[in-house]
Amino acid sequence: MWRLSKIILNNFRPYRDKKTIEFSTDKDKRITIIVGRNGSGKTTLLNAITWCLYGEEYHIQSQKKSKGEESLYILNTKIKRDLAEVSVELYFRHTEHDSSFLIKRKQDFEKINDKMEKASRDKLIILYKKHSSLNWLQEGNPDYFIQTLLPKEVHDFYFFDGERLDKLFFTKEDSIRNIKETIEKLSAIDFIDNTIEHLENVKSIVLRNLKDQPKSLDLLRQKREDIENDINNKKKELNDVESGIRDLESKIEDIDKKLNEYKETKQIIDRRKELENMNNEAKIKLKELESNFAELLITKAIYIYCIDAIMTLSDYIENMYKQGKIPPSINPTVIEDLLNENECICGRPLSNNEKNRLYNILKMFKADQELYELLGGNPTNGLINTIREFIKESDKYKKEILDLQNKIKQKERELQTINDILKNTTQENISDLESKRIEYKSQLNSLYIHKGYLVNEIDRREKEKKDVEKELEKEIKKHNKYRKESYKLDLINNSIKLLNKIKEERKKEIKDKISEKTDQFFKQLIWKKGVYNKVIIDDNYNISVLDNQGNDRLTVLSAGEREILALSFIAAVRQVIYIDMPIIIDTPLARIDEENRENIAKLLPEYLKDTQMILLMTNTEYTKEVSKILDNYVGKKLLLNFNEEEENTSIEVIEGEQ
Amino acid sequence: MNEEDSLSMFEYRLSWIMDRIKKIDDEALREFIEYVIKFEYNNKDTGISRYSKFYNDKLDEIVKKNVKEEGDIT
Repeated sequence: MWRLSKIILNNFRPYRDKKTIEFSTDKDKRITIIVGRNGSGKTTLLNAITWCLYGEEYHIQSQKKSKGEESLYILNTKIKRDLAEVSVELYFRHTEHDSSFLIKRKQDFEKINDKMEKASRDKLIILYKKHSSLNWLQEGNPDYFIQTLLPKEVHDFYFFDGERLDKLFFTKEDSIRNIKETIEKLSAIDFIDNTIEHLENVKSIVLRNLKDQPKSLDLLRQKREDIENDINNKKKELNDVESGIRDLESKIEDIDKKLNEYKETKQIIDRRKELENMNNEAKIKLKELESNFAELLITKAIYIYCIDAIMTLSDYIENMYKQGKIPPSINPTVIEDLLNENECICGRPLSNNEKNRLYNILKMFKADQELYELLGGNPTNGLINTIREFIKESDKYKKEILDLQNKIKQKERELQTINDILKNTTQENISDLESKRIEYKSQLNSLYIHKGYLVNEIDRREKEKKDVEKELEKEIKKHNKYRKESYKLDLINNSIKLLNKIKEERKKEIKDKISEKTDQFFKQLIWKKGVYNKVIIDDNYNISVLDNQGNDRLTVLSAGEREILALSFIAAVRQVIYIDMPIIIDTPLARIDEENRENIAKLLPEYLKDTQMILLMTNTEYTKEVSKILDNYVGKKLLLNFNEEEENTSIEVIEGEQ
Repeated sequence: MNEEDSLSMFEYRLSWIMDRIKKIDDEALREFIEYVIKFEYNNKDTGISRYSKFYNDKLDEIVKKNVKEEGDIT
């Protein structure tokens, strides 16, 4: 077990120059009593310990603080020299194995304008040695060392004053608040809450990623499959149509061969063949022309819609030219020169505002000039030329299309005449053949049209399929991302849920443990045996001290009994904290009446057996009766004497080794 | 100084949490929460500014192991 063997204070408030206080580390006589009047430096001792460990004085009395009586600095106020050091050293040694460590915090001061000021930040040094080694080793991470030794947040269960004991359970509200705070401190609630807060932040990022919900992949896949089936059906139909075309073409060819065998019709049959070929070629050409014309309309027709606006703009720009507003008539180099010389044309230096305005004007001119140079004059000229070219080109297309259509019509009329001649011939065979030919030709035309429709449809559906596939690929990516983000969200939500659960479980476990131990200690310590039946802390942090009739006596406990309850609670907490460190209590009996004072004095040695205890007491607390009761357990007794004039506390050993 | 001489209260509390986490059946959840607690613990004194990135990276790693991608359009 660790024992605090001594403290060395150097210029720390009333402890002027170097003062050493050695504490009793004896296993049986584990109590050290330090007696002193009010203001002699008892509480300062408590503060010196917390300052050494955590760099803060936690026990400055609130009245002193509010009156501004407490010096801002820890340096003894009588010390006025160029340089001074304040330090506190705590020496610990282990009772079982030969290990020691010392914690030292120091703060340098220097005189500035006749006032002592901090010269730098305070410095924490930790040295340790083990197994009879003569050399001290320096701890590399002193703050971490302190945190592992006795975390700051629980120090007040080790170093506290009688006031704390009195107030811990003063009212029902005080007790609920104090128990709740303690249990949360011990349950690492702050750590879990911070973790949950961080997870909530990450969750909000994930939720943002989940805003864009992907479309149903099944629906898209079904759509793609439907299109594919439709394409396959149409391809099959196209095959049938093409086979029908081939069949009809072959039949027509057969008829033409037969018709060619007749001398009287051979000539017109040849002509018909020639006309049909010519028309086929002309129709291909016509299609090409129409397609080019459509292309031209798509790309250039927009200008026709804007023609009025373009003409208005053109007139406006022309007017600006005439008025000399374009290009800018002022040469921007004049402004540049003014800025370079930082001088107005009147010779006055330019203010910052003026410079900024000139920069802006220059920027404007340069932009105008750049635009003018870029456009090379009236920009609408180019547009108007484009429109003119478009009109010219479209006229040319229209004429060519019309000519070709006329030629086709003319040839169709001639073909009709030939067909009529052949159909109406008196020669029966020729007439029959021609009738059949006309019938096949008509069927063929229908098939051609249907083939065209099918080819277009297949083409359109293929494009549609590609679009759906592209969309599907995009949606799969989205879907994968969405699934991943959803998985992450689940993981975060479950983690938060679990941490909250752990938090509650932990709180409950600690609460139950403290409740059980407080009950155990209270029943051990309280002098009115048999009166109190149970101390319970419920799930709402309500503490009840139940008597044998089951009545809660918390609010009617005497000050002494309340102090016993507080000591029991602190002892229970210490068992949960699981850190063995000495207990230092400032004025433990100050608020207790005489009768109860003796009762508490009797049980203090029993309190936390094996724990080193340092009791800081006033003369009125440490009465003869109290001294008599405690004596068997006291290994050392010290007296603090404060000299107000010199602002100096001296230490006198009354009992125990010097 | 021996660690057992000064068992950190924080580590003691943390070990309780870690023991509790070890009991989680869901492997992915256990892996993530273990990572988060260790990360928070290691950075508790330094201030954690980039935890979102670290947590997200860890989540990505777990997702990679556990979420099978949809790869085909058919």
